[in-house]
Amino acid sequence: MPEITFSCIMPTFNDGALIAQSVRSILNQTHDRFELLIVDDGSQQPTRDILAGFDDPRIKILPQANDGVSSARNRGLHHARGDYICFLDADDVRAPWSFAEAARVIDETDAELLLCRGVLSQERTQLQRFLDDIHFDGYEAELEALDGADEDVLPVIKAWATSAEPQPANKFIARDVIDRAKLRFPNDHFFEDIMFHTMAIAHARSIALLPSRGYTYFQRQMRQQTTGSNGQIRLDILGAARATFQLFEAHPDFANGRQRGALMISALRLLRWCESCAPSFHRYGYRVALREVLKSISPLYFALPDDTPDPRGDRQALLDYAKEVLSW
Amino acid sequence: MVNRPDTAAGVIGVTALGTKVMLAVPDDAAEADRRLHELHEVHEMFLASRAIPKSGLCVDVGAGAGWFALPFAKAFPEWQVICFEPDGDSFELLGKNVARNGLENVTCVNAAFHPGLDAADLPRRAPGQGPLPTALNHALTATQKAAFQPLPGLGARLAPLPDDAADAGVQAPALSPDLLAALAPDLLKLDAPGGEQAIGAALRSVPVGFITGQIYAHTPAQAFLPTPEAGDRQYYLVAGEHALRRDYEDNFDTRQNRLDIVVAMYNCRGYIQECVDSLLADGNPDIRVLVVDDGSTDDSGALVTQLYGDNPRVRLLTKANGGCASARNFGRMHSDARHITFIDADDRVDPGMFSALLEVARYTGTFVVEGEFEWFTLDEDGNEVLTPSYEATEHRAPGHHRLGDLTYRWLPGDVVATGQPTIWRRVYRRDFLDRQNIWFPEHVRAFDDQIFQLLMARYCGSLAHVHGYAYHYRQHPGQDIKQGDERHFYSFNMFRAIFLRALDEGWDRLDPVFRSLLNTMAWSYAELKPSLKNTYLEAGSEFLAVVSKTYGHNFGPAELTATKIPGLELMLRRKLDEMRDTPSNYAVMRLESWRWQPEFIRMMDANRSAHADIQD
Repeated sequence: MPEITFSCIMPTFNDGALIAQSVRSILNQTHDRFELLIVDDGSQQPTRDILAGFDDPRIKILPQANDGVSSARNRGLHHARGDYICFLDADDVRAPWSFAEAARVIDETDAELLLCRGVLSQERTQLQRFLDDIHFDGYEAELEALDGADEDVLPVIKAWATSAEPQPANKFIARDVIDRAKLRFPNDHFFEDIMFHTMAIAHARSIALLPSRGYTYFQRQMRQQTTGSNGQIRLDILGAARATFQLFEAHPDFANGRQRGALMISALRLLRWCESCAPSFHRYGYRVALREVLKSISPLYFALPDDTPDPRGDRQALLDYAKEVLSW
Repeated sequence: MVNRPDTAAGVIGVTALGTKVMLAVPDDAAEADRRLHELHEVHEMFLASRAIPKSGLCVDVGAGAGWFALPFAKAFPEWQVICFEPDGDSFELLGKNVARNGLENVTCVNAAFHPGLDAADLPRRAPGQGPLPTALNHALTATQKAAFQPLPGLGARLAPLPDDAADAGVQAPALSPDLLAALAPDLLKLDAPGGEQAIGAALRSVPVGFITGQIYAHTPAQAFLPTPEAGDRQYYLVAGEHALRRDYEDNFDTRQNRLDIVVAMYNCRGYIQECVDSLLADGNPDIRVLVVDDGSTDDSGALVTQLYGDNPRVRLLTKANGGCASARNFGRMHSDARHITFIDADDRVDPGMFSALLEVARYTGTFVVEGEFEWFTLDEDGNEVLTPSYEATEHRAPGHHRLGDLTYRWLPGDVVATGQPTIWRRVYRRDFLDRQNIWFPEHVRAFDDQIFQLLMARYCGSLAHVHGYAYHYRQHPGQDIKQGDERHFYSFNMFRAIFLRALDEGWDRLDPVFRSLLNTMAWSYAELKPSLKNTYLEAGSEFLAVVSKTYGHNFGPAELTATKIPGLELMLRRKLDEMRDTPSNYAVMRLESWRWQPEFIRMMDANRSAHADIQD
C-alpha cells in the first residue's frame, strides 16, 4: 500500500446528527493513513456530544469560537500534517475508496493536485452527477484529442479545472502547494471556495483527474446551507470574488487566456446567481457594489478566448450580464 | 401611596405590598421618611419583581416599629414572620402594632445580632418546615447583653462594638448571627448597621432564597453572594448609590459567583510565575486563574503544573496552538464564572487589583470595570521601571464615586473606543459579552483586542474606571506590535467586520469608529517595516474610500494629515475620484481587497514568487 498520508479537514457548525455519517465516511476509508481534523466552529452541545462519542486516534478536534467556515478551514490547514490535504463538509460524504484511489494516482503520477467528480444528492428523485460533471467530460475529451501531441497539456488542464465548480470536496492538494502558495480561505467570507479553488489550480505544477467519483454533496431540506440561503449573506460573494480576481491577476497563469476566461465565467455565474437569490431590498446595493468590482478588475478579464471552456453554454449570457451591470 | 397621619396622634396608615396597616411610630419625621422610603423604594420594588412563594419564614432584622414586617405579614398571611429589634421603645411600639393590626403570624424578639457572641450548637430549620423546633424557639429568648454604639441621626439604630471598644457604648440584648443561620429564613429583611458582614457571612451557605435590605457601612459583596450549597438566591441590598442585585444573568443560573482570569500563555516560562503570583496575591477565593497553554514549546505548561498543581484556584488548560485570540476564547468557553477577564502571561498586576475591580463590578452591576495600567520595563541594570500610561495625564479628574476604600468614575464608551486597546485590565460581565456576541476573532493573529475593545465600548454605554490599581504591561522587543509585519493589516479586516456589523445593527453614531480607525492607521503606519508602507498606504486609502462611499462620509484634510501617513489625503481623493459615479451605498462595504488581510498579502507574495520561479 502506498505510504501517502492525508489530512482531511472538516469544519462543523451545529451539524448535529448529520456529522456522524460524514465522520464515518472518513474513518471507514480503505486507505487508513490519514488524520481527520474536525474544526468545531463554536457548535452547541449536541454536536459536541456526537463528536465526543468518536474514539479514534486519527481524529483531532480543534475547537474555536464561532468565526466562520473559512476561518475553520484555515485552522485545519494550520495543523494539517498529511502529504495531501482534502476537505469534507460535515454534512457530506467521501466515497469509501476516495483516499485509496488518490494514493494510487499520486503514486503513479506524482501530481500535486488531484480533482474528482462527485455525486449530487438533491431533495428528490435520483442521485445525480455533480453540477460540474460536464466540465470533466470536456477536460477528458480535450486531453484525449491531444494525446501524443507535443503541446504542454498543463494550461489546458488548468483551464478546464478552473471552470469546474469551486467545491472544496473535489480535490486533494499536496501540502507543498499549500505552503508554497500560502493558500488560505478568505476569512470572514462565505462563497469562499472560489478563491481557494482558483489559486490552488494556479499554483499546482501538475494536475490529475481521479477516475472515480470521490464525494457526495447533499442538498438538505431542513438545514440552512450557505448555498441554500437568500439573506444578505449573498452579498458576501462580492468581496470574495474581488479578492480572487485581484490575486489571480497577479499570478503568471493570468496570461493563460482560457484559464482566465474560465475563472471569469465561473465567477460571473456565481455573482449572477447570488444576485438572483438576494432579497429584493438588497438588489440595488448589490448592483452598486458589483459594478464597483467589475470596474476595478483588469479589463483582460473581459477578453475571453473563443475556446474558453463553456460546456454549459452560458458564456454569452454571463458576459451580457456583466455588460448590463457595467452600463447600469 | 399617600401616608397621612391617622386620627390618633403618632399612628399612621402605611400602604405597601398591596395592603395597609396602622402603625404607631416614634415622633421622628426623618426616621419615618427613611423607613417609608426603604419600604417603598427598596423592599416593595424588590418583592414586586420576584415570585415570592405563598408560605415561608421571613426574618426582619432591625424591624423598628414594624415598618416592613407588618405589611409583609398582612400581605402574606401564610408566612411566619420573626422580627428582631434591640431598641426598647421601638420594640414596645412593635408589639402594640402587631396587636393593633390583629396579626397572628408575627413573633417579636427584643434583640440585635452581635458578631462577638457565640452560638450554642443549634439545629437548623429545614426549608419548608412548619413551626420552629423547640430548641430554636428557646434560643430566640436566650439573649445576652452586648456592646453597641447608638447611631445619632439614624433613628434608634445600634451598631455592634468590638470587645475592646465596649466601654464607649451601650449595652443591649443581643443574639449570635449563627442563630440566623439556624433559622434559615426563606426571606430576610436586613437593617443592621455594622452587622452586615457578620450576618452575611453566617448566611452565606444557608439556603436563604430572598434578601432585601440596606447596607450602611461598606461590606465586601462576597458576604452576601451565596455559595453553591446555598442554592439560588435573589437579593437586593442597597448601599447608597450602589446595590447588590441578583438580577442579571437570569438566563445563566449555572454561572458561579466568581471571577475567572484567563491567562493566554504561549512560551512564557520566564514570566508565568510572576504573573500568576500577582493574581493570587490577595488570596481572594472568588478569583480563579485559568492558564491556557496555547501549544507552548518551552514546557511552560509543565511549569504551571509544578508550581500550582495543588492550588485549587489555578487551573491549567492545554490546547493546540492557535494564537492569542483562540486561547482567550478557549478559556472563556471553559469558564463558568459570572465575571471574566483576559490577561497576558508576561504581565502582572498590583496585588488586589482584580479584587477591587470585582467589588466595583458587583456593587454597580456594570458590564465592564477597568483598572489603570502602567508600562513595565527593565532599565539597563535590570531594575523594574513602571511608567504610568497616557491616562495619568489625560484622565486627571478624580474619582467621583466611592465604594468603601475604592474610588472610581464612569468613562463614556466613546472615550474608551478611541483609546489604546487595553482589554486586559478590565473585568467583564460574562453575560454581557455573550449577549452582545463580543469575541476575539479566531482568525486574527494579532491585535485581536482592537475589535473586542471597540465592540465592548460601543455596547457598554460607560464603564467604571477604578483608581489606584494598575496592570503592569510588560514591554519587550519580542512583542507582536514590535514586529511591524503584515499582521498590522488585520486592522482593515477587523474594521471591515465592525462596519458591516454597524450597518447590520443601524449604529447611528460612527464618529468614534472613524476616529479609532484613523488612530489605528496612524499608529500602524508608524510601526510598520518600510517594505510594507506602500502597501499600507494603498490599503488604507482604498479602505477609507470604501468607508466614505458606504456612509457618504467625508474624512477631513486635518484628520488625514494628522495620521502622518504621507500622501494619504491625495490617494484617498484619487480613489474617490475613481468611484465618483458610484452612489453612496451600504453594500460598498462588502467589497474586499487583497490588502486587507495578511493571508491575502502572503498569497500575493506567493504569486510574485511564482513569477520569479518562471524566470529562473
